[in-house]
Amino acid sequence: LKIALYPGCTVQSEQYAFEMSARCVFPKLGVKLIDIDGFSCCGYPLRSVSSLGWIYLSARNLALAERRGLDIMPLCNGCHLTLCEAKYYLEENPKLKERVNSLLSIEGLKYKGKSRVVHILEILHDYVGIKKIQNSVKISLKGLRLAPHYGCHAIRPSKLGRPDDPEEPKKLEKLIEALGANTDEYPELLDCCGSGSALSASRVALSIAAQKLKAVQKRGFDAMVVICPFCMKMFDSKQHVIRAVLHEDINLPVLYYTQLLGLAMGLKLEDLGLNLNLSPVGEILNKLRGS
Amino acid sequence: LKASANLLSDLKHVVGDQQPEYCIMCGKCSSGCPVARFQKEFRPSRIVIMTQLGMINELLNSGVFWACAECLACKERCPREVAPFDLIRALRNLAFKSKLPTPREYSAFINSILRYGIIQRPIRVRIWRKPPTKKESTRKFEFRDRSALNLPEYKKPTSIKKFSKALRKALEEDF
Repeated sequence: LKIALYPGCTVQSEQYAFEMSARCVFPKLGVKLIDIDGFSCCGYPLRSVSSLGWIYLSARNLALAERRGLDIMPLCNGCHLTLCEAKYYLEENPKLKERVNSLLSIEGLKYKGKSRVVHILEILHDYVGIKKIQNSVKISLKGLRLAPHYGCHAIRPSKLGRPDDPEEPKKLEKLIEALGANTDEYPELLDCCGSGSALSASRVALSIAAQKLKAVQKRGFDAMVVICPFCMKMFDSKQHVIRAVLHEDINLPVLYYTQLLGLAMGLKLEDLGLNLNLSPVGEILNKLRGS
Repeated sequence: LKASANLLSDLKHVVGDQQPEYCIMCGKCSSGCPVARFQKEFRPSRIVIMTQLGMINELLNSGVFWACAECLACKERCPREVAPFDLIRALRNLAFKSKLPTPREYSAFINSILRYGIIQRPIRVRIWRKPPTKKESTRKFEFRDRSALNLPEYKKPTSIKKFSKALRKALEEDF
């Protein structure tokens, strides 16, 4: 399988561990990632200020993938949702599609809607499959108890077709178990990371993140596993801010699923960007070594 | 009242599924809202009802809708397909167009996308000697950029001039 890798602004400009680990693990599972020159922002940041600006940007990236005859795999739940949403409204509204295509013609591009937007959960769970992932494990993660966090935009709104169920998602749990680790259902599974509020209500955003981190820590999980750079920023990068501002006693390892998978594949820690995480991911490595 | 009617059609005009007129005030959106847990003024159902009542000017001036966490639980769970989140997004679009107070990051995003294609240029990040543990005193770090981490260089849109011309046009046409 060949697929266009769409890293998105946040991964490309600061959340490097996700890109590094993704570039390591996907080829090992038979998924060839193709870089396409000229990809831009997906449009998500403009959704709140200009719907035409947003849909133009989404359609532009889709048109670039389409020109190469490839489906597109974003490394961010927000990009995935935005591209899917744009596709939906362009299909629904031919006039809008015409307007967008006249904008795209400035760069000599055309949007037809042929490329599919695929999520890493779909590629890993549905295409590669649990069995092949199990077979790729060199170091079992037995003994670790991990909390999956899907991120809101991976599962909602179901109307647009999301990679997993909006109320009872299961795929990330199964992908974690495939590596030998344990997971458990927990009541806060669907809770938001708060990232969306960060621009206008930063304390609210931190409180939302803190609530989930606290719950996961209290329930005795060794770490939280995420698949979105915005969730990562709240739960990993902002953890020390939460400690300082909200005086919460939180010290929980948080990592990307692709990092966890690479760990189980026996890949080098540096190649997976595990020394870029700000949360104490060294603790789970110590626990693995101990067991 | 007439002004309100126009504002309502402006709201309906923003791309999205917003249908405030279908709300039956069941409150499901507010009970599942993560922001409502921490901010009393923020209730998706109140935003919907105020829109129904034609209080759109009051809403726009309050700016209350900027606090939304964009989790979409309200849109997913609404039994009447009101899509409160889409209404919130439409209100934000209107507020920005009317030059009402807006988080300043949005203009910064637009400027960066016009110049570089993405919301911020790749930064140098902190890298620890070893994956960090709970003992912060043992943490030693330096800074690395994409190339030092063996990541391919970020390339902006091939013709940034044509790209930014098209995006500018999109933004102008929308406003």
